[in-house]
Amino acid sequence: MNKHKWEISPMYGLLDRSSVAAHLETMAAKGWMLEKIGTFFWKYRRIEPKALRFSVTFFSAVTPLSPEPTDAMETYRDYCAAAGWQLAAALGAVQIFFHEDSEPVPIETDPAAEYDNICQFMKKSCLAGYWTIGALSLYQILFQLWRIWTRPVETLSNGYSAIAALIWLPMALLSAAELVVYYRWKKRAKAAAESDCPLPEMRSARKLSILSLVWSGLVLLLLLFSAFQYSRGMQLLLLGMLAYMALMGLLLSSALDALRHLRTPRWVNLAVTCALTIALMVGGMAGLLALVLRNSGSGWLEERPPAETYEYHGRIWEVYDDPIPLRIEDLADTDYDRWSTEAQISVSPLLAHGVFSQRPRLGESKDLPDLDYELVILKAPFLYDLCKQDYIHWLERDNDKVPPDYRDEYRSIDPAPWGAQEVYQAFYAGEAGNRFLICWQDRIAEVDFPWKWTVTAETAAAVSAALKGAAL
Amino acid sequence: MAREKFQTLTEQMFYILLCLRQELCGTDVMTHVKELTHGRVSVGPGTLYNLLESFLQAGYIRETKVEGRKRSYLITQAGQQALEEEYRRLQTLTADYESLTGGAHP
Repeated sequence: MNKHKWEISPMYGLLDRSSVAAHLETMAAKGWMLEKIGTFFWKYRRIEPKALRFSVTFFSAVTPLSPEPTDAMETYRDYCAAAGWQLAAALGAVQIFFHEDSEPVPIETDPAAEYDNICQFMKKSCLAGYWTIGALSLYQILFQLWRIWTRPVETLSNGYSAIAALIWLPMALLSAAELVVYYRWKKRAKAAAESDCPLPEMRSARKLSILSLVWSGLVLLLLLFSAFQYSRGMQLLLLGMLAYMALMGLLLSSALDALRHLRTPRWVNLAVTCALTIALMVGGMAGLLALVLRNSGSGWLEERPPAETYEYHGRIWEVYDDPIPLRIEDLADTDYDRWSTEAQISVSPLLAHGVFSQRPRLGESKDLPDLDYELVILKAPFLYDLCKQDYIHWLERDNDKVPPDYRDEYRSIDPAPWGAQEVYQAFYAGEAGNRFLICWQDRIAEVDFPWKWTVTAETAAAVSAALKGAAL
Repeated sequence: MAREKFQTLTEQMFYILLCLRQELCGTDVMTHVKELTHGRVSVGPGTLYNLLESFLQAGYIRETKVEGRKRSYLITQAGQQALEEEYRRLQTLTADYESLTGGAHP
């Protein structure tokens, strides 16, 4: 029979004292006494099943950086022991006691003093954290939404960027919920304390906490899924970074625990924690940079290595042989066959985005053309206008800085030859260019034809035939 | 503070100060309050600790002896004054009640 048992934290808020106490009383009745509490796991030891009374209190003189136990905390515990309350477990300022009697004198008997103590505890140990996490999460969410609004194609086609806002959402919601619940409780508790009445209970946002945990797990799975589009080396690098961050958290937490038990002063704990955090971060960044630099050019970190390389004017140039949906040979007659074709494709549940190019090798002929184009496949119809406007805004991004005659713009042209819904041609300072934005129902392509070419109905038909059904 | 600090004393503040007219250590205060009030008023250990700290900060009591973790306290002049003000306030309440009801029990 096991002497110890670990339990996943029941996710009660710290101020939900009655729920925590009730949970621990149920565990004691089943023969399990709380021995240690942590953020994620609680440890119990086996005892004879007993009807015990539990009480959660806060020793507000202690902060997460204070040495532990202080003389003051020991005195506090002595008072509790004298009243029959024995310490079960503690986590920073949170102290959990139990009593053998069924109706003991409560640890807190003066609502006004209890109210002050809880407010002090929240101010010193929790509120700054809630506000910081809430503000940081909100900033990240707004930043990601701004990126989606201003560069939707780039942002939404990348698995990580597309779900980045979702990663921060649970933290923003939880912080907001904790703050709202606390300030509402504070208002009611103040009124109760002024009337010398027992303080009201504060129920924790337990369901939201569980939902957030599940949500975070799903987002992590999505992140891992999106990492599959990277090279094996990049996947290992990402896993290594995650492991390093976990190790960093463990090291920092262990170092702080050790310092607190050595009873070093608070300012020493703060200084050592800050110095260790900076050292580990700088060390991690330096290691990452060294790893990337050491392996650059080896192809280990690249999504795909070049098919071959060649030297031109003393530099090494890469040649790719990626399959691309539209080739120069589809649009013009040519005998040249030493092209470099490059495709960079990013796929997310919302969009697939391909950036394609076809170029001759440098120095082989000055008359050979280049072809550059992008193709966006929309997996959700509501993204059509957002993505179309992305290309239009990008072309017209500097128009407010130049006189009207020098502005660049997309002008609508006849879509029939392209078999498309809408087609726009780029005009640079009033002169027609060879860049076209072609919009089909489920996809958008922006093609840069060689500037010497005349784009005909046959060219349009060939583009349509190649891109309208292309898969990414 | 939920109420203006020490403008009026709660029942537990009153009895703690009253007990500390003689030198006592913290744990003894709990016992003395209970005995003095025949069990009617009990001061919880958490409340006792927080109130003793508040009284020390306000200068209502002073630390007289430290033996290991055992600390003893005694009321100061300021504490005595606060106690007397509370006593007079309670007397005023009692007098008002008596003048209106003739001291009759409800």
